[in-house]
Amino acid sequence: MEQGRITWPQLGMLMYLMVGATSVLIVPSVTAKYAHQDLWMTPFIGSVVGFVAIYMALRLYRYYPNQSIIQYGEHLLGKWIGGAANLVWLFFLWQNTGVILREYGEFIVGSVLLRTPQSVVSICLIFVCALAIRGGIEVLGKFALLITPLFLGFVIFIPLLLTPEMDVLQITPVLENGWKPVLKGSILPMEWFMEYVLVSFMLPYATGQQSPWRWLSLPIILMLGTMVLLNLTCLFVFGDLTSMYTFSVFNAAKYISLGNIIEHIEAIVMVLWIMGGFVQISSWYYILVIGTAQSFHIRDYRPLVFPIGILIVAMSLWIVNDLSEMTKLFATSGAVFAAVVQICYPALLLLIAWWKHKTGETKYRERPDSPSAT
Amino acid sequence: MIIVPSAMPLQEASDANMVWSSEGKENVKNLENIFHHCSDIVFFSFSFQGGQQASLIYVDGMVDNLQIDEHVIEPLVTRYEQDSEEDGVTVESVRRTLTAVKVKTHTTMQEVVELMLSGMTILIPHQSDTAFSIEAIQFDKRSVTEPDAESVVRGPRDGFVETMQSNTSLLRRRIRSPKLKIQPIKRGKLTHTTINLVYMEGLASEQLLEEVKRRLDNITLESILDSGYVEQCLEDNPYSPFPQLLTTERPDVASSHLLEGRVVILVDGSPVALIAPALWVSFLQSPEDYYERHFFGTIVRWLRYASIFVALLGPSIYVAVISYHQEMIPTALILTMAKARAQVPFPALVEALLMELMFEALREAGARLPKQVGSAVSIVGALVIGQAAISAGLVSAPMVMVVAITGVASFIVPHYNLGISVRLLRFPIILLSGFLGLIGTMMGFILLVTHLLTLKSFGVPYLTGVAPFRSSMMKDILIRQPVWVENMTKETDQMQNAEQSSDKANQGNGLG
Repeated sequence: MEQGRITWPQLGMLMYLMVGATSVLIVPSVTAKYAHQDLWMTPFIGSVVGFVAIYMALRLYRYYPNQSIIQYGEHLLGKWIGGAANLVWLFFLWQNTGVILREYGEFIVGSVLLRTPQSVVSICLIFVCALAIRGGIEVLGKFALLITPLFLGFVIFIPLLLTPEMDVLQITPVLENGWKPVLKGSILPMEWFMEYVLVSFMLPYATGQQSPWRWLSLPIILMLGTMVLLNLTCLFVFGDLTSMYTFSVFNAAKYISLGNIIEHIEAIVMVLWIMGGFVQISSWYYILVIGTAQSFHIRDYRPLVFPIGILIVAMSLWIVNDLSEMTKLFATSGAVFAAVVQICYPALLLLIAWWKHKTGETKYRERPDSPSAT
Repeated sequence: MIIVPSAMPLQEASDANMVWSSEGKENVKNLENIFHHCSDIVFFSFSFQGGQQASLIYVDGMVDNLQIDEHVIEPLVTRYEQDSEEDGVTVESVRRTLTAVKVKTHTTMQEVVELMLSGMTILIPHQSDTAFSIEAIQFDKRSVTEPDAESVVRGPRDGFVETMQSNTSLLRRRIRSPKLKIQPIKRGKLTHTTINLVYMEGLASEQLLEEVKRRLDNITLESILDSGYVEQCLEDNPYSPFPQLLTTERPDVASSHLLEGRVVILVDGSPVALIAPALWVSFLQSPEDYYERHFFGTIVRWLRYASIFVALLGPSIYVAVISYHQEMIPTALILTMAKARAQVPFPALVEALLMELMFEALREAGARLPKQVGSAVSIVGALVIGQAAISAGLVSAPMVMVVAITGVASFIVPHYNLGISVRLLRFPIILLSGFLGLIGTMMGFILLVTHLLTLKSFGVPYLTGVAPFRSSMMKDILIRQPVWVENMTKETDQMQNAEQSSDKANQGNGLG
């Protein structure tokens, strides 16, 4: 089905951008709504979920090194239950890809192309992504590895350039209302960190001698650092007003002014974001396409690319009416759905696989990369 | 240059005349029929000392008459001695009499015709079934001069010419090693053009050689008039806007690529050599980077990286910023720009397309026109049209500047063919930026990068070094590392390799 291969560093960076690009967009303002000045603690709690997700994905990968979650799901649960579960998974992927596309669309229309219709932006974005994923996973991996240094550069430079505007004392009082608001606020970062389980779609195509654990933990740690850094930046610049802005990091970037030379760099920030967003949308899109092909046993995924692209655009227009509705979705039913699909279902599969292994039906491979000619 | 006859039949001659008979006289007659209406083919009859008749056949203007006189006709007419008592002419006695160096015997019509057309002199004694080919080729050729398209301030001044012999000798003079291999193939059904595959044995990978040979064998063109024909047949992706073979007119560049394990393809009649596989980074390297001191090489390289981005995205970013993101421009500047643009009737997109097209037209006119007129075009184009367009209010002064900067930047790319594709790709990106602002610029750029990521040149990813990332290549991409470091690392590598191989040998002994 997919002939291309991806190296572990490429996979790691792909995962970082795939999850991280939008987290920077919305997460600070929504978490600030619940956690107020303690929003910088929320990613630490959320990242635990990320490690759990990676652990499950890698464990299942060792049982089934050549299959994705769609394929071993059907294998473990049988044709009917597994098939039904896969349909739920596909719906989840479809919905989320649509939401992500909408996030970027809202961002572009809301901050730069004020008079352009949402659908035009969505269609253009999806078209570019469609052309890219027809090139296969190799293109995505290489592109991610090219872009990540730029993306990280801007994650580091925005706070650095904003230091004159910062007020460190905004961080106090720490834990004013105890842990409860922090835990409530960490639901959203958790939702993002859960997405690391999607790596199980890409794992069958990974090659190389590097340690999977190291290269898959790296994106979680990078993302944790990114979230903490940008949350603190927003907090120091805006204080409790962070929740008032929809795209708080972008708004913070507007305040950058250094010696009358570096001014108004928000367009550059936006450009880098679009690059990251491109990787993010294409990876979700790719996973949706390849998941569909796997669950319906279609040999070549390429003919599916454009039809599914149209469905994604449609979903992005249907799913919510505006941004406030979208943040409500993240905080309520969306979170439950995501947790069931991304955490409970893989946990169930892992349990069954482990049980089957105990009863001797499935082999557990210690080193999935070693050649099987032993 | 000895041209090895290929197995391809000569289709233009009729079959009846292509038969080789045992009578020399008959063969001469057949040849006369084949070369009917070819006034440049000379048939010269004379008799040996013993009275035996013979014919010399050659292409006028491709043969050194003096040599033929001295080493063929004179010895045969004055010193020929028959070995045996027989009537016929024996091969041995002719060979003994001739004092020419390169003499071969042939007994098929096809061979004879092909060799004669490539400049050999054919001797057919009328009473023999054998023809002799004598190599005394001399024809007019351009002397080795500095290539205009790839000039350097410091470095060798010689360039390839149209003659294959000169080109191979230019390479051989630089790499005096028996490992330098030159393999000829003939392609082109009508032109019978020689294509030479040049490589270093042991340095070029077997796979690459196989692939290049396979693709060369698959060429079924009627005619090959320049290496450009061959290049287009060898490309991995013929629909890509990017060149997938490196071209050069400089033997020093070709040699350096040979020594890096690449394959050089020389085509007879073309001064442009092809180099495969080509990587994106090698299009941005000039030989002078290595001849000048390394700081200079590094800085110039970065200048090129910057300028290729300017050449590709300069006008589109200007269009996007002017039409959608005015807030990015500092206030003082936007005021003067607004003043300059106040009387321009067109939107920035139209203005940009207009000026870019104008620039391309001027460039093309300058390239095609005779050199004397070329300067007139640049004066009229750059000074008169540029200045007049601004004062007439058709375009704004900043736009003229942007176009000029882009033009200069696109000429910094050392390889002309990459410059062409960059200039071409500018137009769709300008259009995208005109419609979607910086988002459009970004989309165009992303599409380009994803295309480059899928592109391969002879199976090697086009962006090798950057993606897939190779840290070992960074010393030639990010900086131009000093020459002596390269030698040192090579030595240490060799030492390590030697150690490793001896370790392996020891292990092998231990196990055995």
